[in-house]
Amino acid sequence: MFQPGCAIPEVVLDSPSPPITRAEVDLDRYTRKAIGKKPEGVPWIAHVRAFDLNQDGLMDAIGCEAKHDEVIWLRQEGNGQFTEVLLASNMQAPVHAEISDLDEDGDLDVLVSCMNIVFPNNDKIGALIALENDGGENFTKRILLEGVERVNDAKAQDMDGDGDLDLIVGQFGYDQGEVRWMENVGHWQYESHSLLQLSGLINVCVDDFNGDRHPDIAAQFSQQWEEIHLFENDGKGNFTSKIIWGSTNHDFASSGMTVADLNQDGMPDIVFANGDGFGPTLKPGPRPWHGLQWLKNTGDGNFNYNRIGDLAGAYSPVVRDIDQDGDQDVLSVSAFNDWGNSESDSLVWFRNDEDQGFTKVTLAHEPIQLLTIDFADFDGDGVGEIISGCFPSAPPFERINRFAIWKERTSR
Amino acid sequence: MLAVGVILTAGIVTGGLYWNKQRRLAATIQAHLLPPPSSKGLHPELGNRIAELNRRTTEGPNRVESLAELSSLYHANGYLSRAWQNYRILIELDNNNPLWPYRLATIVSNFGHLDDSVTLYRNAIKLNSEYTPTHIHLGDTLLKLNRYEQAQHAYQSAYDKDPSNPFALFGLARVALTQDDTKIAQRLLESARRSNKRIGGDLLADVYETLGETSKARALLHDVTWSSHVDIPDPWIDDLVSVCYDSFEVAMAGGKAGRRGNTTRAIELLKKAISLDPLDQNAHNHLAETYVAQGNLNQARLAYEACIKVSPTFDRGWAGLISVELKSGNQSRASQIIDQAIAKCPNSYVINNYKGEDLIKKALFRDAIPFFETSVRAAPEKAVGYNYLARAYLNLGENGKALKYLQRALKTEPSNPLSIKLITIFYVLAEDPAQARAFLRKAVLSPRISEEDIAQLQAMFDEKFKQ
Repeated sequence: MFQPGCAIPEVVLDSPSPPITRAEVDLDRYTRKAIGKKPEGVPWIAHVRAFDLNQDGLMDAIGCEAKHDEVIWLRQEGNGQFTEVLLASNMQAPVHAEISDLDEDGDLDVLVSCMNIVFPNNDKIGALIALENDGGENFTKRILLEGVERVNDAKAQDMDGDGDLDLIVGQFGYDQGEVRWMENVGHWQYESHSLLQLSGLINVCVDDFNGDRHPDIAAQFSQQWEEIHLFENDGKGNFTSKIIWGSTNHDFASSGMTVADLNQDGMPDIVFANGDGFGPTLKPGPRPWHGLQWLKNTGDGNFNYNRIGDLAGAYSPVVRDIDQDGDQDVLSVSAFNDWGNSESDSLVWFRNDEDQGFTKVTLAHEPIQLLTIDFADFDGDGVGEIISGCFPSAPPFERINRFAIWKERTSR
Repeated sequence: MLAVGVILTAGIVTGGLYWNKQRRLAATIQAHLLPPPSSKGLHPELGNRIAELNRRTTEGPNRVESLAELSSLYHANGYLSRAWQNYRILIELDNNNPLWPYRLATIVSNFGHLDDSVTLYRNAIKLNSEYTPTHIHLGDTLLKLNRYEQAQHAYQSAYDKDPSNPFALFGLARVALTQDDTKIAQRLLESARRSNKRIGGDLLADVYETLGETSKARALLHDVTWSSHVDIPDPWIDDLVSVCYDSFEVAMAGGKAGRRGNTTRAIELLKKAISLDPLDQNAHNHLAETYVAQGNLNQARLAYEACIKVSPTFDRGWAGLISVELKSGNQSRASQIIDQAIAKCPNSYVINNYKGEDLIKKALFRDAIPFFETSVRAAPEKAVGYNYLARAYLNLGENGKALKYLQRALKTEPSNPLSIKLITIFYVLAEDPAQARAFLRKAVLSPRISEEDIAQLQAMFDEKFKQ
């Protein structure tokens, strides 16, 4: 009872403690150089992917220009010089491109997801288009899917173990959407199998998530769902689905997902961002819950949620060892922020402390409205560079560029 | 004497208990309270309130009340980690209040810590089982944990209190869909939509399509407003906006209220947002739009005028003001404003469209064309400018050019309803039955074209080709 003079026992709070974001600023880490054509008007670079398309040993990049319906090849000529080559026009608002040898003829083809209209629209106007390489980097357009909800992402992988590449397709739609896989039946013909009808699909990722040696599918949904679903494959193209993460915040604003072994335990984890602003809001802007997180794969298709850090308008998470210290870091951009404030984050690195504790390092305040990045060793010096693409969707249309390469300063 | 002794002893014990409780309170707060955020960039009044409440929380008096107030302030103004930590302390110190586990649960589940939030929601229900949003949020959380039976039970609790609750019906429908019970999902979603037209339309359209009821799906999709979903009204969270100093967040809350159909509350909040940031053009614009939604064109006009005053190059503000004048029947005033607007926003696609349309109304078709050309240069991704160009050339009898622009409109937006209607009419008039039939078919398949419009197109087609 009453014991004056006794020490008060420490009160332990048994509810979970909040995530705290540690933050630094390092604006001198990278130098930036614009590449490709000079922008005419406001660019809409929806996606950029680093890839040596012509397999000449020099890293190139593929970009999607959604306003002008173009798929662009940034072909490296050496010495950090890039030539912009138009791979395909009239591409129905391309928003995502992946590179694979789809027809297994020894060269690399491009798989392009097309929304047709980027801003909110529920019409069935999406398309999936392959750009077939003739071996000399001349590309022929093949429409693989059309008349469906707006297509946001697609990957190629052998899902049924028959040795050819099937397709996994995410259709954002708007009020209606879908994730499907398309079984390759030969000669550029595919048979569709619906996995789930749900709107707002952002990304699909394929990996053996449950350790049974068959490729599974993870799908990230935004809109009012804000969920990540796992479709576990029995190796023959039969799938069992479950939700592996969700938020009850209908404005969580899921904006992108990637797969990487973040903790290097041999199992693929999922890293994802929330910060979307493409919607019917007053104006796109920062929300306090925007940021990065990862789902730690604990085996057998189970995952644990972990917050990486806060980032307003977070988009395009990329996992790499940025500082060459042996652990996996996370890069991201802010697509939607308070651009009236000149100190708002644009390009951000979440530095791993080796034990998956992260410090947010602001690398740049501009260009603003970056939507997409990738990371690769473009100049072959063993240190990676960042490539970025800009998609200003709302004013201010200033401090913008189209594509840029960010090189780490050698003096560091 | 004995009585005095008893009273004295009781007093000492009570005082001791109180003193011990106060020591425990102070020690808990001292051990767990996070430092306040930097005052840099904060609204001055918010900075002062945070400083004062921090002082009162740590030094007293009224530590718990001050901590509660501080928590709300943090929560409302986006300091979620601090709000989170404060609610943890409050759960310990004020353990009969359901607000603290509930608010912590919403933050935790919003971040996706689903298992933790289940415990918190259940604690909140133990303390107050009458608050319906707790049951709905618990159901949503359990559903995302694939615990369907428990989710169904949570939604059922809300349904039992109010069988017409659209959020409970929607939740039960989602559970039914996980079990592939499409017929039950259909019934539940139809009930949900009867209660609130903004709930369930998206899933119901898929259900109709799955069941092969394509005409029902089409009618529903025509009726659904894009992004129609609304959140459950939740006073325990929504009321936090009363202590929010962030004009953007207040305006967002205004938008949310408006989407729920509560335009009076939306207007209150948008006015508050403007008082916090009088230069926020979007808040002014949205206030005006909300007045338009109420049918109050006079107030809308004033709000749009305030909007363009703070931001003279904001084309949406000008466009709204022009639209109000046109709705009010003030054509000549609208023409004057269009000329003012085009001087301020010469490259705006929407203002150029208004200018061109104004000239079309005066039968100045040739003069209108340069404005529509500017419109398509400014917004090549939109069909609207091409549609206007097509109409101008049709009026000039230059059908080849009209067709070219209709085709460009449809290339830009393949499902643009006006483009589809215009090109169908074009081919009917051009006596091209194959093309007319093809586009009529497209119109029939498009949920964005009304039954009346389709009937009209069909009648034109029949009159021309079925004699």
